[in-house]
Amino acid sequence: MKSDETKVTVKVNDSTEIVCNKNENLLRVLEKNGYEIEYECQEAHCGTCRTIMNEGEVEYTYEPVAYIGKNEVLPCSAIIKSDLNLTIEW
Amino acid sequence: MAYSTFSQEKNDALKEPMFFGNPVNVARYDQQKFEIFEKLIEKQLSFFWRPEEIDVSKDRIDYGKMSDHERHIFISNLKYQTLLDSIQGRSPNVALLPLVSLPELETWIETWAFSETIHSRSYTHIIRNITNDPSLIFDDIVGNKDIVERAEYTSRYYDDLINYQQAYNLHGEGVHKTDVGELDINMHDLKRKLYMCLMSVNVLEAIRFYVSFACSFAFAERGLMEGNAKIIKLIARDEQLHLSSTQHMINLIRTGQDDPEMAEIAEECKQDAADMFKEGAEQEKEWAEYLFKDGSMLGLNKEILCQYVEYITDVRVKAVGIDPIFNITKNPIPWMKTWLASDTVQVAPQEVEISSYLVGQVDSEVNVEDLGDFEL
Repeated sequence: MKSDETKVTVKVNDSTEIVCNKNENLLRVLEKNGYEIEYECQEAHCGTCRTIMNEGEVEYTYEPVAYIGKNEVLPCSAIIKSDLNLTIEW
Repeated sequence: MAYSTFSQEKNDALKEPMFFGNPVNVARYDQQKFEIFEKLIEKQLSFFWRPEEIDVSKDRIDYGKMSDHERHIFISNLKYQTLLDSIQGRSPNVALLPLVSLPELETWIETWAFSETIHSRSYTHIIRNITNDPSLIFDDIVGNKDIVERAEYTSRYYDDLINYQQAYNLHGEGVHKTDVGELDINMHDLKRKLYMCLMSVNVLEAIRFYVSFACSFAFAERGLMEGNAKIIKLIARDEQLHLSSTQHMINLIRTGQDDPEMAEIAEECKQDAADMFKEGAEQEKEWAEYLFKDGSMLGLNKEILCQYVEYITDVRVKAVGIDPIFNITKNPIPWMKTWLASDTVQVAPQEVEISSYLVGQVDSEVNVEDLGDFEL
C-alpha cells in the first residue's frame, strides 16, 4: 500500500521512538530499524510474528486467520494507522 | 452420551461449547459461534493444490547424484513426514468429530484432515519419482525405531482420547472393562485428555515438521530436489494454517471464552503442556542427530538444526501462553523465512516452474469506496 506523508510514531518498549509514514507496513518499519521479528507467512495466517501492541490502530492487508490475543498485532500484514506503542520482548 | 450421526435434540449451536455439548445436527454456517473456523475453512479451500501439478522429474537426476548420507537425510525425512501425515489424515476425524458441538468447527476438522491426505498423496508422488520400487521406502517406515518412537508420542494422546471417548459414548461415566483395560471414565478426565491431545497436535504442527522442512529447503537452496521443495513449501503453508487452528482452540479454551471447566483444566495442565513442548523439542533434536549421523549437508548441520528447533519452540510456546523454554533469541536459519512466506511462493520464476497461482481464491471483502464509481 502506498504510504502517505502523515507521520506517526512507533514507540517500542517505552524507550525507542520510530517516526515513519502512516500506512507503512509495520514489519518493514521494525526491520528497517533493526528489530528482528520472526515471521513466516506474511499473510496473517501463521501468527509467527505476533507482537504485543499496548496502544494504537492498524489495518490488515490480509484478513487475519491467525490467533490475535488481546493487545496483540501481526506486524507482517499490519498497516500503521496511528501512533503505536509496542512491547518487543526479544 | 451416545454419539449419533443425526442428533434429534433441538439445540442452539450458538450456545454450545466447542466440545462435549450436544452433537452437531444440521451443518449450517449462516450463524457461527466462532467465525474463525469458517474463515480457516475458506483459507484452506483457497490453498487447494494437487501434488501432480508439481513437476518433480528433475529431482530424479538430483537424487541419483546425491551421496549416501544425503540420501539418508532426504529419505528419512520423507518417511517421517509420511507417517506423521498418515496419522494426521485420520486422527482429527476419529478423535474429535464425535466430541464436537459446533458446525463450523466440525467442518473445519474435516477440511483440515482432508488437506493432510493431500500431503500423504504428495509423498507417494515424490517417492514414485525417485525410485522404481516405492515399497522399499514405505515398508521400512513401521519398522524404523527412530521414526516410530516420535510418531508414537503423538498418536498416544490421540489413542488415549479415542479409547476414553468411545467408552464414554457407549457406557457413560463410571468404571468400565474394555479391551485396553479397566477405564475409569469421568468428564473431567475426558476433558483433560482432550486438552492434552489438542496440545500434542499443536506440538506436532508447531515444531515436529520443521526439521524436515529445513532439510528440504536446504537442498533446494543448492538447487537440488527443487520439485520436492515446492511441494514441501505448499505443505508448510497448510501446516501453518493447521497450527493456527489448534492455537485458536487452545487459546479459546484457556482464556475462558468457551467451556469454563475446560479453562480450569487448561490451567491445571499448563506445566504438563510446557513439558510436552520440551520433550517434543528434545525428540526433534535427537532426530537431527539421527539425520546427520553419517555426515552433514552443505548449509546445514546438527548444531544449527538443534538451535533452530529450540528457537522455533520458544516462538510457538508463547503463542499458547507458555513461557519460553530455551531462551534462544536469534533465528539460526534466517533463509527459512523465504521458503515459509506465502506471497513469495515463487521468487525466481525463470529457474523453476511457477506454482504461485491461486486455485479458487476469492476476495470477498467489499468496502464502500469500492462502489465509488457507480452511479444510479
